[in-house]
Amino acid sequence: MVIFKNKQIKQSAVAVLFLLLLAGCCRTPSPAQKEAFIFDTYATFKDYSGSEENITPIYDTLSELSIEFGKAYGAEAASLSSAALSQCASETAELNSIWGSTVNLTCGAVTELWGIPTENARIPDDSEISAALSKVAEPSIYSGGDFSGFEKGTKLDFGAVSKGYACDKAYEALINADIHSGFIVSLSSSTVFYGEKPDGSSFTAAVKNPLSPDEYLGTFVTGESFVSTSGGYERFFELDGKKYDHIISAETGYPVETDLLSVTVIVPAATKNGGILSDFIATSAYAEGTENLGKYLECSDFSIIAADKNNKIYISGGVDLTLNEKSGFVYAEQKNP
Amino acid sequence: MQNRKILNKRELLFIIPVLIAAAALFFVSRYYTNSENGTAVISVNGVEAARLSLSEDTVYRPDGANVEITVKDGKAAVTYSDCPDKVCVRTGYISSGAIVCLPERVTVKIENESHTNIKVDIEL
Repeated sequence: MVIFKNKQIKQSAVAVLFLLLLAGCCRTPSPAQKEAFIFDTYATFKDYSGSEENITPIYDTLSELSIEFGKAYGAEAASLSSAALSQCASETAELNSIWGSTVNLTCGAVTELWGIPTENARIPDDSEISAALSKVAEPSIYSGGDFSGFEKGTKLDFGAVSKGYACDKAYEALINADIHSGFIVSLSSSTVFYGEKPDGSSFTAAVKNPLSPDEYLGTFVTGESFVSTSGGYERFFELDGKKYDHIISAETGYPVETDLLSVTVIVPAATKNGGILSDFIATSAYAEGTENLGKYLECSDFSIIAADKNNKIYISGGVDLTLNEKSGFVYAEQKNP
Repeated sequence: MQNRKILNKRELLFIIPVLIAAAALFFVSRYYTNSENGTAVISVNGVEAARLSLSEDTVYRPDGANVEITVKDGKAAVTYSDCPDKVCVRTGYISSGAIVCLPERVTVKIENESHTNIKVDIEL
């Protein structure tokens, strides 16, 4: 009878397992999540092992960094002294030397003049614009990360790179904190994907439809990576039926006019300073429009998903995009294998 | 030990009710996680303030932020906000994804598993 009893226990165990399985209780723990308003945006921290403690050091790192970048806003460039801002500036200058100066950190006075998207947004007159433009310098000026020599009135605008830079710092913090679970830090326009999910699967990211925030343009699967998106569909200023982009050209002093709606850039996490690279390229490619998109699509350091105003999608090889067929967007040409 | 069937009567009597119970639990849990239209989760400053069923038309004003959230016809919108840029109000009515009002530090997130077959980890 002892044997039978053991069997009964065994069978009960199997039955209980069945019960759990059927009820779906064997699902992996739900991720721990924290939301915060930092970097002038909405941030999400997600730990897939469900550990709130893992989130704390990463949140603290970015929260401190956010305060550093906040100091630059509206301030005289010459008055700034911050290790983070200096590092971010010299990394940006390095990217400028390769990719040109569509992104220019010294355009602070111009962006401030337009005030998009704040309550002070307005169309400045030409004299104001030329006065602000006179305070814009060549990017090489900030290559050393030293701001002390900037002339009075020059202001720095880190908007095009700060969130990508922050993702680099988040990635560093995740490694330093010895976190082994899957982790996502999203600063809305820039996101870092770290590790892998408990079941070993990759992350699924959704790109918003720039014409309809209610739905997705598509989804793609990604491993460890930095992803940044630039677009004019959320932050803009509208007057007399004309939309003014929040990205101001450091060359003309006017909001950029682009035939693109959004550009998403995916950089493998192993890339040095991949976060700032993703942010920089997203802004540059978006502002430069389809005319200049080719060089970004061809570069093998990152992958691109771009949507233009003719409802066309451009993607580089290696992006596993699942297009939302209902979005109304179609591939511009034959999808690269 | 003599030859026997894989399951004897006694074991079947035990296992069948367990399977029925499991099936019942499965459908009940599915029913509860997939309410028809989903839920709008309102947070102020990163702290959850309310969960509004999208099946019920309602107007909600959270404490600690000067915004008005309206649920209508299975969708949610920020219909008023004291913020300067009005990015949130311009977003209009949504049935998936999220609306964020940065100046007022308010988020409206739609939880709706049945909306899409793909489980999205993050919206970019």
